[in-house]
Amino acid sequence: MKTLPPRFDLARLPECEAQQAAMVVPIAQLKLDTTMNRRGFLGAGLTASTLAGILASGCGALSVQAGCRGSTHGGSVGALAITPDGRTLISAGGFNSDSVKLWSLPLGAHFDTLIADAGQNTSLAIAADGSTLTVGSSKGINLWNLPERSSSPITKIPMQAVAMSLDGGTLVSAGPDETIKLWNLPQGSLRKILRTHPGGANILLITPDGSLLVSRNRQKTLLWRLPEGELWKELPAAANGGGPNEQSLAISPDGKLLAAGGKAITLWRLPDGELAQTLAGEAGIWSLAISEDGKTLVAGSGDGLIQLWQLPGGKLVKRIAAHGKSIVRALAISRDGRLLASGGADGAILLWRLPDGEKLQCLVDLAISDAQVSGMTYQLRHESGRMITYTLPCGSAIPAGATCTCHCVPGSVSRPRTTPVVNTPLRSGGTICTCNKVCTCNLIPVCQAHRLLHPDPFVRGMAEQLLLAMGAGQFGYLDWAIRQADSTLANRIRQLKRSIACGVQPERGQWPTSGPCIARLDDEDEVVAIMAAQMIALCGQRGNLSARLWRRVNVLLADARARPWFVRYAVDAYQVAKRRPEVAR
Amino acid sequence: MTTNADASVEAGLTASSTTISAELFAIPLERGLHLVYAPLRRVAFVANATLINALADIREGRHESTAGTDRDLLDFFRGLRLIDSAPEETPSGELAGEPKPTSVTLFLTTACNLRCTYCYAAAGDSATTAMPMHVAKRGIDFVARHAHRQQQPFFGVGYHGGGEPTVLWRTMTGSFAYAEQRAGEIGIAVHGSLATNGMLKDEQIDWIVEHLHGASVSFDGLPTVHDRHRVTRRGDGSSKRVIATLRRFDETGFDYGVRVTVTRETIAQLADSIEFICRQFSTEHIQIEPAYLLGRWQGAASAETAEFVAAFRDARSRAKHHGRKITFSAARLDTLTGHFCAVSQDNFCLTPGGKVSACYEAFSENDPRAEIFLYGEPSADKGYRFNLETLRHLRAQVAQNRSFCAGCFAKWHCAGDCYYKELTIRQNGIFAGSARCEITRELLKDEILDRIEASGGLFWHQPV
Ligand code: SF4
Ligand code: SF4
Repeated sequence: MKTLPPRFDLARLPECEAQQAAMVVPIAQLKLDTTMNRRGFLGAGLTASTLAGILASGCGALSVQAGCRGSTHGGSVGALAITPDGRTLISAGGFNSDSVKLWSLPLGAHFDTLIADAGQNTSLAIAADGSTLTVGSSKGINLWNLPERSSSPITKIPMQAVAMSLDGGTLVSAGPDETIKLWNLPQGSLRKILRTHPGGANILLITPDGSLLVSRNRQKTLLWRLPEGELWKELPAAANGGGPNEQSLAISPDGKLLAAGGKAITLWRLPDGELAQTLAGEAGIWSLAISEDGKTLVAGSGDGLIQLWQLPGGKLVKRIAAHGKSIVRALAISRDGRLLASGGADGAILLWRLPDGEKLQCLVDLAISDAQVSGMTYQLRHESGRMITYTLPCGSAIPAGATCTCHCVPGSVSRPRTTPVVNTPLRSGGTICTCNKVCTCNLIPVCQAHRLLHPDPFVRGMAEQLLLAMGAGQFGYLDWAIRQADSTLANRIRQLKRSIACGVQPERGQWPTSGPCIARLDDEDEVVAIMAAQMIALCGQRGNLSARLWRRVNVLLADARARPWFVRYAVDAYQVAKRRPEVAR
Repeated sequence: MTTNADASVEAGLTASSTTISAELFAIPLERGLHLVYAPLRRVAFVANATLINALADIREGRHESTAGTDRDLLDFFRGLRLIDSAPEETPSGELAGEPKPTSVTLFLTTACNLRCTYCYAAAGDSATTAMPMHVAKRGIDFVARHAHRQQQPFFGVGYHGGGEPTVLWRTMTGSFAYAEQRAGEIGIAVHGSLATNGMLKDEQIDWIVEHLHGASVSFDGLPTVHDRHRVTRRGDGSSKRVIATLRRFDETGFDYGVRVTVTRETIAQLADSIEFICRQFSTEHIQIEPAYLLGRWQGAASAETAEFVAAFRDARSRAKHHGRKITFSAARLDTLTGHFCAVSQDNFCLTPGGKVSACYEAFSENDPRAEIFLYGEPSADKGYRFNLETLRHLRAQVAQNRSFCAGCFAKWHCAGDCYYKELTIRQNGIFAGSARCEITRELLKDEILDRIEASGGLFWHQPV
């Protein structure tokens, strides 16, 4: 079957695409990972004028989000905490996602979901021993023993913030009832109730020496003396910053500095509560963390940026485009100061190396990720003796001693599923993990668009005609296929999309006789077999087929419909296309 | 006082004066952006959809829209000679008249001292043929005569073919001695070249260095990669000998190139292989091609894949690191031509039997496509009788005649790719592109984007 001639001649594009002013686009604005493999592009030989182009276009910070398709809580990330030994990151979902998950550090492998349904407004507080975790939420407060994964409820009264003293002896909680409660741990007995802000506090922090409690909501920032729980001071309104982001608050490990985020960052001396410095913020500061040595202040902003500030002095040393345009909701720094975790409203959790701000990992939990997110799993024996299954994004190094459990059989699926897969297991399509030192998971292209560069010209031709038959109504599918493809294939799909947009129709003259299609009904690549079946159906060749072959065609079409959404989608799209009168011209 | 009409005349915005004056291609990139490319003007830039439509407006004579287009933009196009300029010069098309070759390629033999698994010629598998000296001499006389008549400074003698030319060493050196003698007699130079597998003895290397102007050596890079396919009759790897040859070439400053053949199995090692070549040898010419699915490699898994493109990109950046360039035959940004190779330009090659072939792949009368590519035979008058019908057909294999390629932005570089290979993959007798097209276009696009980047990141303009 003849393939369509290439159509690169400059042609008018749909007006809906041409909404901006006419522009020559600086090449630096191209997303290099999808157009070309140019590692080190920004580092290597950028001319001055290119840099000028980048700066002029406001693209000075290079986004790393493009490469992060990890998904962690199925919604935004609300809170992060790192255990004092630096080996575990605890994350809590934010809006619309109420799980609490555990990740091994520094790799960032998901290894457990501590709570699937923790409730809203989850806040986390971890004791200095690293084994006691307090989880406060709309469902109350639970005290967790992390090594044993056991929990005991403290209260079922809804809470919106919790904090724990470093010695683990005092727990404070704030609820919508506009009180702050002091609890004795480990008994969980209520020690004192403090009347506080209207609306209650949205964040609580205790200084490392346990002598001071800071509470904050949109209106007020209050300092309380502990253990008595006496209100000691109200900070000036500037401490509240005037933004909706009242949860951005951090205390330095020496307990002498309080950082509060708002439109800007204000630094307050503790315990006297005097204003020390104001640092310019951008797009509002939504999260703050201070390193253990007190020399780095990390701020997360409303436009996805992470800022690294040097302390003392307040010099901005780095801006990292981290979470696209989404709010950076949570930050945590490991005690050794080498690792930063950031969680965003985009649902991503990213790990960064400090002090240079190099991105290390984009965390992924396959069980709640989109279908196109691949990952690898491996098992390691935990010191408790249990075998634990870890999940990392594709391309991550497998740690020493790990047994890779990703399926190494081509075409098998390594995706853990929350719902059982119905129908026959996938025989082609899915994920291949080649388990070596690095586990690489390649998504096997599973649909017609991914056969556009098939070595067999007949298969290429079939793919082209079937996609033309699907028409412009299936651009969503083609966009999906582009995202799944490597750059060469993606470009080929883009070209075809352009042909469809330019009104190119399937060419009946190009449709094959049944012979070559029949020969491919048993192709070992089932997508090819399905396409052959589709082609036979599209060409109306039933008359040329024996009953046995016609049954085979129907089995293949039915098989295709039972496949994951994208293949089914493509097949259904074809069914729709078949009914379109222009296809039958 | 200046009227509006005057102002638009001054800005060149009037309907009558604004026309497209270049062949323009728009290559889709991400996010609705397009790479605008005018190959014959050697111009490229990345444009958004509105800019594409502005150019479409001008082409369609939609004057009102054009008038609304930013004046600077029109000046920009004008500066690049995309609008309102003299017509472009297209590369030369079909040749005419009697062939007057000034270079001969001698297919000395089908014998070979290797048994490369992917050999397109399956050299050594069938009865070997050897070129008698008189066949070589007649060819040399013929091109020497033409070069002399055309007052060329030299004539060319190349050794190539469906086997290893150096296996027929006596004929090779003897014929070249004859060529040198003829050159002396007519007072011009002779340029000798060779395509070899590099399995050479020291004395052979010395002779080559002394007599020839250049050689292309088949070498696949890392010894393990090379030895995977390029083996002796006994199945032993050949890398050791070939490496010794390349070292010797380097020591003498001889101008040689390396041709790297990639199979599906060796794609993953391509970048490492190029790194190896760049570190070990000083050649400036490194050509990389996926193995042809011909001869012994017929039916093998094709390496003309997206993985090849990715590996090529990787290899290219490694080579760049060493200040070298790697090439793929059809993605030649600096070549503007209607001819992919000399097959349409009266390429003058002689089979061992003395027939004239236009194609390096059609090296014998037994080739299944001999009828298409063999276009002459010795005549009674010491010259050659050409089959003009066959020659006309071969000369017609130019980009200008390839309707399939008309809308391809690569057409003035690739020029329709290899005709021989095309014949092996035709669908229903019609050329409908190949998997190589994607490779060509991707690599060419990379090159264009590279040029834009190297020119400051906004546009590339390098008039011929
Ligand atoms: S047609 Fe192909 S094989 Fe023949 S000479 Fe040209 S490039 Fe070589
Ligand atoms: S269509 Fe293919 S053969 Fe023709 S010019 Fe383009 S890349 Fe070359």
